Order: sequence, then C-alpha cells, then structure tokens
Amino acid sequence: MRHLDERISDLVDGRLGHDARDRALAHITTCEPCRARVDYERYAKTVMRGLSDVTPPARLLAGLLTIGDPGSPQRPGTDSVADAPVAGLRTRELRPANRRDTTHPDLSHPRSRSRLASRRRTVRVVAAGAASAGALVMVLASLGAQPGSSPPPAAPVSIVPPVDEFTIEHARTSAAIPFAESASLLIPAGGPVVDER
Amino acid sequence: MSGSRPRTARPTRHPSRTAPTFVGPVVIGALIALLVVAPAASADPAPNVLTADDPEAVALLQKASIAPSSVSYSGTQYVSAWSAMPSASSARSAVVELRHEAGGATEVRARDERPVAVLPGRADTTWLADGADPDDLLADAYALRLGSPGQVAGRTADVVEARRADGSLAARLWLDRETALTLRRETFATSGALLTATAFVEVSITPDPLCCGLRAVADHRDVPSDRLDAAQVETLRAEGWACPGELPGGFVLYEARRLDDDALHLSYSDGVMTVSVFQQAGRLDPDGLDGFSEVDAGEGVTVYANPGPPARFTWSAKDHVVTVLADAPLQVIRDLVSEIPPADRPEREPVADDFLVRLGRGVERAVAWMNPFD
Repeated sequence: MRHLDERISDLVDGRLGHDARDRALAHITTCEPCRARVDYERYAKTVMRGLSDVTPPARLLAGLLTIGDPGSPQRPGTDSVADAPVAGLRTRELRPANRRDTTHPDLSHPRSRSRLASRRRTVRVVAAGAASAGALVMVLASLGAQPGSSPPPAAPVSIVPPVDEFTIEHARTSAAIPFAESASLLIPAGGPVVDER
Repeated sequence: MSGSRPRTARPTRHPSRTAPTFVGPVVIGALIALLVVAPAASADPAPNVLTADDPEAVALLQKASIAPSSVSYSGTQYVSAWSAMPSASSARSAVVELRHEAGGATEVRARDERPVAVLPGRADTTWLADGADPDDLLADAYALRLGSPGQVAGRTADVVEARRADGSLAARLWLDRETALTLRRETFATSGALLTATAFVEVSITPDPLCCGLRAVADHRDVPSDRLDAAQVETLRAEGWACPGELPGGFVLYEARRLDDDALHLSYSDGVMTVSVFQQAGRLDPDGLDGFSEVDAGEGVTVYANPGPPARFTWSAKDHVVTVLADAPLQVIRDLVSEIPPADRPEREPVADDFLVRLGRGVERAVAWMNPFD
C-alpha cells in the first residue's frame, strides 16, 4: 500500500481532483498513519486560520517570489504582490483545481507538481539561509559588544556650585583641626571682605 | 594665580584698618596691648633647611591638640584672614565671642549680634587620617621649633613655629603655658605673607565644664551631611570620584561627607591649614557664578576663582564640577589642578555603540579567533 505523503496537504486543502480525492479518502479509511496525518494537518489549518492576517513587506515578498521563480510572470489579476496574505504566500483556496494555465498549472500534472516542489524547496532554502544569516549577525554583534558597555550617558547637568553653602561646610570641618580654626571663626561673623589695596 | 604678593609688614595689616565697624574701645586697647607685648609676626625664612622636629615643640603640640577636650573657655577673639591669591589684597576681619565646653562644640557669636554658630569639634567627625592626629599632621608636614615665649591676653604662652623644608615659616602658635590651649595663631604663605591670624584679646579658662546650655545647642543643631568612612570613600573612588588620600605639601584627607545636594566634600589639612574639595556630578555653568573670574592655574589651564578669603576656585573636571576652598598657600591649588585637571571642553564624545559598530567589532574578533597566526 502506497501512503499519501505529499497528497495529504492537497487533500486537506481541497486541491485534488475528483478521482484523486476519492482514492485518497478511500486510503485513509484503512491506513491509520495517513489518517492521523490528515487529522493533524486539518487541526493545524484550523489553528492557523484563527490567527490574524499579517501583510508582509512588499520588498520581501517580491524578492522571495523572484528567487523562487525568476522567470515566472506576475500572477494575473493581482496588481501587487503585497496583496497576497502571508500564510502560504498565495491563497491555495483561490486556485481553481482544474484550471490549466502557465501560472497556475494543474497540480495533478507531474511536471507542475515538480515545479511547485522545487519552488517550495527554494523558498525554504532562502528562508533557512536568511535565518542563519540573521543568527550569525546577532552572534557577531554580541561578540562585538564592549565589555560593560552601557547606554551613552545623558547630557551632563549644568552646575553652579553653592559657594556660600560650601563655605559653611568648609568652616564646619576646619573646626576639627585645633590649630586651624581661623576660617571657621569668620563664617558666623560674615564680616565684609575688605580690599586692602 | 601667578605672581607674588610682596611681603607685607604686620602694621600694614593692622586689623583696625580693615574692620573698623567691629572695633570697640575695649578691643582696641586689648589689641594694642597684644601687639606691644607679643612679638610681631616675622615670616623671614630661616637660612638653613630644616628637617628634624624639636621634641619639646612636638610634646607641646600634642598637649595643645587635646586641650579643647579637657579645657572649657570663653573669651573674645580677633580673627583676620587674607586671600591666598597673591594678586588679590582682599581680607576679612571680625571680632567674635567664643564659648567652648570641654570635649564639646564651640559656640561662636559675632560682636554685631549676628546669629550664633556652633562649630563641631573633632569628636563630631569621622576621622579618616588613620594613625595621625592633628598634631601628627603638623609634625609630618613641617619642622617644629620652639620660639621665644610671649604673652597673650595676659597669659604666658610658649611659642611653637612650624617651618617648611625650605626654612620658610608656615605657622606660629602661642600655647597657654598652663593649659596648652591655643591662644594665638598665625599662618603664612610661602611668600611670607600672612594668610590667617587669630588671637584672644581676653579669655577666661575654666576648669569645670560650662553650663549644659551649649551642649544642648550642639545636640540640636542641624547636621546637613552624612559622614563617610574609609570604605565608602574607596567605593566613591571606584565610581570615578577623585578622592586622593593625600595632596602634595602634606595635606591629608581627614574627613569626607556627602552633602544634601549629593555634593561630595573632602577635607584636607596639614595640621594648621585646611583645604576643602567639593565635587558635584555635571559640568560647570560659568555664567551662574557670582564674583568669580577666570585665572590662569598654570600650563595654560584656566579655572574660575574668587579671592575670598577663603579663596575659592571652581572648574569642570572630567565628569564633575570641582570647587575648592582653601586657607592655604596657592601652591596647594596648583597641585589640586594637576591632580584633578580641568576639562575645558567636553571629553571626546564616546563612539556610538550602535549595531553596525558592534557588528564590525564582532567580525574582527571572530576573524582573530580563526587566524592561526594571531
């Protein structure tokens, strides 16, 4: 007995043709592992649909699509790639199952499926490469952190020393020196400063 | 801060010419008697370089150092101080009433009914100069000699002179022969000019402690600062505060306080002169200074100065504003400027530790790791 393998995703997404779908359903009635995988993918799809849509940056999406299929034209009926939801890059439910054109080939065709698998691998490689590069950058940045580096200090506070207060403090501490009380004794007097010239 | 003030004979600094407001008939008479009886201040440098202390002079100073803890007294004292800046001839003089209780604080009242000040004694400080009493500081910094005995306020006094290594006179002290209480003192700049002069014109020394009133005042005074111990000072050093334990010229750190406004107050003394160094985090705003002017502190370094007395100096150091008050020769300020140099311009802005800079350093480090020849 041959397991469904890649056709599980197509079954869950409703992308199989009528006959193929019947054969797949018949298979999972007797194959416990494939039934379990179908149940799991349905559960995952339900969870993913519960998440809010996130629109990816247009440059990122365009770049990934260009890398995945450099020669393919832009999807007809789509003015901008930014319009595509992020999950799955293109909405599979919108693809007509039996439609034949160069942009949306019939997935039941072995050559088209091969191209789709190739594109998926390319995207995965690109994503893995980007993640690896990001991790490397972060590691290098952490290596480059200065030991004990801290955020740059705030602008220094502008200070006008309280000289009168300091003069009193000077007198207080000078009094601790028994032979040096002169300044201390002048502070309470507050006598005027006289210019002797 | 450059140049030297010509040595001035004592009569030109007669107190009556500087503060006539405070001089009453009684005080004038006492001062005349004082000046006639006591030898005039002479700061002539000794011809020979002195190094060793006279043991008898050291013993007298040791006795005088602890006299305030065992002697109560009250009296009238004349106080005069001159600016440490040679270019300034400003002076301040006053006649004050003193009242001291043995082992306690000293109550000071000006003759013109200004508010009373209570000055704490050494018992109120956290003494940081380990193993060195005030008389030790004096003995360490100067060569001590006995002078000719004299009379102060009708009491016989022994005279101790403190001379610098070059033989110039730094201080002269008149110590009561009976109690060792300091009755008169004079300090001199290296040029021989007077820095400070105080003398009792009348004094009453009582063997019994004075009335408890003074202690009550001392106990209830407002102490606006926190004293720091040696470990806390060490912590401040680690945090980047300039806290030298000693300054050139024998000035030793004997007390450190943290004031209410987060200013750090370091007190230095050589036993007879004092220097206070205040530091505040930030940069100096020269426009806010009143009575200060720019002066050359040597080697092209500019600081802001007010002649006082006491002379006051302030400048921006690396991260702090430094303010210095000194009843000491100007050389001490120059040494301090060398110890805590001004930063006229902000230090070079630190290179922004942004992501790209860090990334570049990381690449360099990784390459270094992979380089077998490194």
